[in-house]
Amino acid sequence: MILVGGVGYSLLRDMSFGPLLVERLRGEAWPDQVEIQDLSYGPVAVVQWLQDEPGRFQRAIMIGAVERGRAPGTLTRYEWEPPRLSADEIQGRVNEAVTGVIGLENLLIIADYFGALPAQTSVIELEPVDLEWGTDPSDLVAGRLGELVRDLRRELSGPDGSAPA
Amino acid sequence: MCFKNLPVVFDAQGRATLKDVPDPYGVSTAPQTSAGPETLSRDQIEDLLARNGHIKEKNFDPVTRVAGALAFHTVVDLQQKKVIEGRSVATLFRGYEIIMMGRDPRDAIYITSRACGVCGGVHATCSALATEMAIGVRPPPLGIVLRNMLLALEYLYDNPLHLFLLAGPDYSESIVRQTNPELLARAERTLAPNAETHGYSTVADIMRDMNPLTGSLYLEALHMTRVAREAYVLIGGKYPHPQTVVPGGISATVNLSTFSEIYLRLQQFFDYSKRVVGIYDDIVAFFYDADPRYKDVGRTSANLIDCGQWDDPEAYDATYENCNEWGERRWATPGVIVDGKQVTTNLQHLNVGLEEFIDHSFYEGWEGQRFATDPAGNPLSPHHPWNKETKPRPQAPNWREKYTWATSPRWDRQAMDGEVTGRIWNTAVAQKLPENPYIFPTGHSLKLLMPAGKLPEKELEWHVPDVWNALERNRGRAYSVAYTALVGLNLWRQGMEYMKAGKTAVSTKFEIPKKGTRLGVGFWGAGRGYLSHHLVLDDGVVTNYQIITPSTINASPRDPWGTPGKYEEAVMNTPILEQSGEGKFVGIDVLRAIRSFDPCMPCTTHIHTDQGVITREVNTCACGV
Repeated sequence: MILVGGVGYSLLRDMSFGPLLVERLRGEAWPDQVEIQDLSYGPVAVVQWLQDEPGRFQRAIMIGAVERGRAPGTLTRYEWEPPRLSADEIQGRVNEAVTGVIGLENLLIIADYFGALPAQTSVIELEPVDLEWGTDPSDLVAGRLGELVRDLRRELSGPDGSAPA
Repeated sequence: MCFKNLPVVFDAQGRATLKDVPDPYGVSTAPQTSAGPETLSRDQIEDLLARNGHIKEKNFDPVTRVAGALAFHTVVDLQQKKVIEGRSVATLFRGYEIIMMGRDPRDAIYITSRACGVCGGVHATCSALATEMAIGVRPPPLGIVLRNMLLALEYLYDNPLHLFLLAGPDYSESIVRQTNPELLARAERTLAPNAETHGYSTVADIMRDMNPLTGSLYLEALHMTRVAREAYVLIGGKYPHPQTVVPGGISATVNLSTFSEIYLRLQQFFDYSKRVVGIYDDIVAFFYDADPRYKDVGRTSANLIDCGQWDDPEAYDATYENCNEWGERRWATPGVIVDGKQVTTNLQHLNVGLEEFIDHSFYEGWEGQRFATDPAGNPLSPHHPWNKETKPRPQAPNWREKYTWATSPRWDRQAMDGEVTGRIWNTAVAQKLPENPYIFPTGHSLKLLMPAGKLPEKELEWHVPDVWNALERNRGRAYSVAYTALVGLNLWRQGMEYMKAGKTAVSTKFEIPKKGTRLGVGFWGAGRGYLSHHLVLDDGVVTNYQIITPSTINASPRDPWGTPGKYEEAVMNTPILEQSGEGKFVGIDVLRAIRSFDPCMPCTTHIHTDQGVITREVNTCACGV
């Protein structure tokens, strides 16, 4: 199974890229091997969900908006490599998570620490343009949503609709 | 007569009137308050810093392992091993009071829920209570039981999390080894008195399993948050921001299967709380025996305030006029304790005694007083939440003037502790709890009959402590897990009775009145302690909304008379017992004092600034103040 997970707070325009993408993806049919999930309900709860069925997902694509000072609207994809963090830093991430912080990086670090991430995990980050409140993303990011849906379609669906090998 | 400072007197019938004195709510006269720590003026502190090399500033910015953005400034006398100044600094502006202005009151449930990423549900329900008081709607009994159950489940999420993820690590092997290795050696040879219940032979074994990330108590607490959360969403739909809380009850559909699913999860807390209580009893006893000065870590005067919570479905009618009666029928009795003595269990007294000051906070004052009395005719202060206006005024912090976004709530002009133990303390001494088979207040203790699970039935007994300090706050929170589990069991039985009787309605229809001025207040509680929402409606829209959380009370700065808030008092009473070597000072005693309150600053919420929306905490260094 392939997990496609969006992560982020709602109603924060571009910062809600993950949940907005999930909404779009859920409006379309995907191969049986692809599971679309909004993983914005708290990193610890997501880890516990993943731990319920270890090995269920062979791959994951985790998506969300992250501010890193890149050109606004940039989509960056990379294979997840856990950063070298001390135990105190990881503990700090867990503390943030249980007290309410929801974020892509937090989820990845915590899930990785508890061994809950699929062996092959890709990350797609969006550099936000607009940091205001609101239901809709900026025009540039709305375009990125469409592009990413098409890219994921190409990646995850074979010509007959099945997942490519 | 519960007030000794406010200009309010009571006649023979208990009616309150304002004393006939000039400027009755003026602040020129210092109130009578409990003896607090010696506070030095800023000039004296600066003089000491300049003249003595052993007097150092130590800033904790951020204070880690707390929810949200808190900084703490101390000046420490390293020779005398004591803290001579403590300043609590909330580094974020919350702003919900402003966001709520001009809105339909129904929005408040969903907006104010976002005040906290841990306990959003308590704000949602508190908001629903304030709204239903303002508009006059009474929920049906099962609706009341269900939202009571939501509250219990939220506490069962929140308290274990604090006991083992946030405060717990302060007593873990890894921290004690670093800060007080002599204690760890002693713990290795100290048998744990409650070994039979929790399974740990020595206190050091407990400490090892309290180690963050790897200790089994840490990991078990993470698991128990899931158990509570799963039960919660059966009614609330989601966590921490429920979708089913409405004025007039609950919008969820429940059936016997829902109750069964909840029970399956609730009963897991019966054995868990026996173990948690045993662990914290052993930890507290160990520290007291090892060095009696631990009784001074986080010590404050025993002034505690709690609104009570978990309404009696047959008594609660959502009116302010009857709140004294329905308040005292709650599964936790409202009350105020001053210097260890309960002075009232009356919700109107509790409300009338509230004032919120901004002399050392980043806000402007306000003119006038819209409401001279509450809806029952009791006098109100111009500083009361119904009269307060929130006028943020960001500025550079200055210890002599304004240095925090927290305000200074006071009751009868005294600094209070809004921490969770106030719940069991008030209940224990009031002896007004409805009859039930599990919880027995004795006047000086609270007996808790925990049902058998894998462990046998066990009676736990929390005693009113002789001294009020960091360890007792944590112990009180441990007993609160057991207490909450038993309240949950009472609620479950109540709910089943209503289901069997066919009384399955969970909400009452209502309309928001479009004309007139209406006041409402939600008297409720968070996992951490005290919670109130005060609401003013004019012609159907919110014209004032004021939230006071446990951390608003506990993190408060000095008040107009210079009395420190409770974090500040606790830290200034704390001896430095840490034995870390030169250059390795952690400040563990100060941190234990602060964390024992379970601070929850306005955290992880969407705070608007001129530069956009902040979605994660931002810590503003207070070191250079």
